[in-house]
Amino acid sequence: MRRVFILKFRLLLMVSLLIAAAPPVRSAEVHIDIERLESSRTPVGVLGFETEPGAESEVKSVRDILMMDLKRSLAFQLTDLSQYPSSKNLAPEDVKKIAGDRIEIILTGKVKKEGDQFKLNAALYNGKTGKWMWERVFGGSKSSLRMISHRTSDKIVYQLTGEEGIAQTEIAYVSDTGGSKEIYRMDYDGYNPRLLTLNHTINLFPRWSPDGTRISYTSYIDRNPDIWIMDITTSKRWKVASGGLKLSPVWYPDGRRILFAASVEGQTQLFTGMEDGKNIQRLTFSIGNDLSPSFSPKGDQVVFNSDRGGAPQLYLMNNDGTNVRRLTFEGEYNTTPSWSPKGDWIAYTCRTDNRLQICLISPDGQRKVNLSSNRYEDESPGWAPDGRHLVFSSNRDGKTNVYMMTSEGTEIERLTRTGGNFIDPAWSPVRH
Amino acid sequence: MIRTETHFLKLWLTGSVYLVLTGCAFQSDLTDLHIEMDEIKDKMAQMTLKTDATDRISRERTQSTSNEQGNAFLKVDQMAVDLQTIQGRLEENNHSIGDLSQKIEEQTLRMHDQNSRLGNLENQMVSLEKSGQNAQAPPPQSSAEQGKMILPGQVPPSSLMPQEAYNQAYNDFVKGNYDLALIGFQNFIQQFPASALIPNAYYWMGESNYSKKEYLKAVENFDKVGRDYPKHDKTPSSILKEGYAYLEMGEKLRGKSYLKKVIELFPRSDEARLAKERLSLVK
Repeated sequence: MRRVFILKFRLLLMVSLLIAAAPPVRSAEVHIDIERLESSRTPVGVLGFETEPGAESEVKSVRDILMMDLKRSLAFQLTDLSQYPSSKNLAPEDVKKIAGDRIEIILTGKVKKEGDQFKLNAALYNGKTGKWMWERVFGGSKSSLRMISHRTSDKIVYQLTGEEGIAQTEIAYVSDTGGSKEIYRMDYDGYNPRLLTLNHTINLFPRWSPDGTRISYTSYIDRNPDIWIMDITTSKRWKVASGGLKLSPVWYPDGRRILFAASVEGQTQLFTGMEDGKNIQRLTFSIGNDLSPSFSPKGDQVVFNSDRGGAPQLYLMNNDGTNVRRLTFEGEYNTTPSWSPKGDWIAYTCRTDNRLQICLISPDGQRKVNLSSNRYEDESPGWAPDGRHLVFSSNRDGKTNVYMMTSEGTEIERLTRTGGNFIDPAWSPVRH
Repeated sequence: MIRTETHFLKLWLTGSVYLVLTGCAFQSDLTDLHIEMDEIKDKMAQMTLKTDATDRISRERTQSTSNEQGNAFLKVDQMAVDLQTIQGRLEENNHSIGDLSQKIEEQTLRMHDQNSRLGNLENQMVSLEKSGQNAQAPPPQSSAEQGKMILPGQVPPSSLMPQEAYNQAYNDFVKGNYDLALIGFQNFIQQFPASALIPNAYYWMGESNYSKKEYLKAVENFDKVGRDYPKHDKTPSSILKEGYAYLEMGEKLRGKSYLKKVIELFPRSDEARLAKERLSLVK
């Protein structure tokens, strides 16, 4: 008893000394350097697009979509210069005059119709020298006009930044619009939704393979939550693991194996297996439920959530199940982790003030950021392949919808538009 | 009986958490806490055994009255929840102790730094006094330069605190920059040889080597953890990964011996279960 008292006294004394000697605590505000600063974005002026007879009604939407794509890339500061029409014969002096002191790049465009095909000709000029820099032509049918703009945007992003754009990526999600929970895919900006499953049961947890050609998911099609994979290029589907509860399958970066949660002895544990269902091995042996794994970019670390400590928290382990250690210690509910493509952040659903929110934590556990306001229920974050955007579901407009935002929690945009609930979004990789 | 013990353990844990959270400890106090944690772990192991026993008993009782059966199952369920709660507290305690150790380490380094600056300042003053009114004496260095003065043979101090240096290397590992991680951990080991994170650094060097398929080097680093820090929480994983590395090199007998070693030394660990799974696959 006396020993405890002395210990306590010494501890209290020590803490006073440490507090007095500790360096001043920095502001709780943590800046995430993965989003480009507004000031570091390249100023781009977009001229009015030229058109030819037959394409007058399409030219505005093509230009609008392209401008939205470029804005979402977070690489550019766009200025609408529609008062200046694009022209094939833009002289350097004209370009310099339009660009003025501030604009560094001038984008011009022309949309024309040839038969039933539309063509977009996009060109870039150096605003400082007035010289032509780059030009591409993309074409397709009327129904692919959006994709033509997306493709043009990605090429411009790559040309000017050297990084892959995300305008041609897609988002898979679950919706109950038709009565049953089916998996859909849509363009990254929420347009062009398409059904991927239609078995009138429950389908959950869609996750893209690293090459974007297959999706793993849990389906009750055989009256049991089993793991399935579909090849979206051939529509072929096959069952990977069945019996008991099989949940949240994710792909190893090699694209040949999956990691998933399965019930065993009354608990849910993590298992690994080949995509054809062979060589299934158990990886975790906890006294709780282990769920929702997500890989580090190179695939040698896994973050997952587990209630082995009484409440759901995030844990890390090696991809072979060794070296399990706890990552989150704040709050009593931390789930659905998603590791960023650059490896420096893990997004997850946290609960603060009894609300589900989107949080970020660094893999070393040293930095934590809450990206949500506390008025709505935000959950299930997933990273875009550029590492600068997140997709998540939220009830901020009444029903649950899918939204995207930057990794700083700004520029929130609703992506799903029709009735019903939309949950569990997953962003596709960039396809080459 | 077991319930009382659980209650006692909870009180004990709460007390320990309070102690840890309400203040920072001297190194000796931390050692005391570590001992207490080990005792708690032992108690947990005993409780698990008792839970298993109760589970067995309750299953035997299924042949008796259904009321008794229901109660027994409820009890087992409650105990499982209690066990998880204790596990959670243990993780939080370990985390707090880790934080405290780092703070003490950083504080000690700061004190050493301050002492060295003071010493340098004193030396400067003495030499100034000695030089007297010597007009040709060099002008005194600025305070910033004094702080940075390094005596011959001394290792230049890192501008990073131990935790920062360690995290930098760890983040490189997580991003897959294994070469950078290896250099970072190596520097960390050289600059902070007394840090409590040294075994962790060796472990992550082993993991970096393993990821690069440099199995022999991985074995060396894992071996250092297993040999020099036999009770560290990275030790079961180190021995297991050493076994995996030997298996990758085609040395089956040696690999299997390390898998068996994990089972023998840490029979209740996740690594022991992984070792059993792997052993069943190695022909």
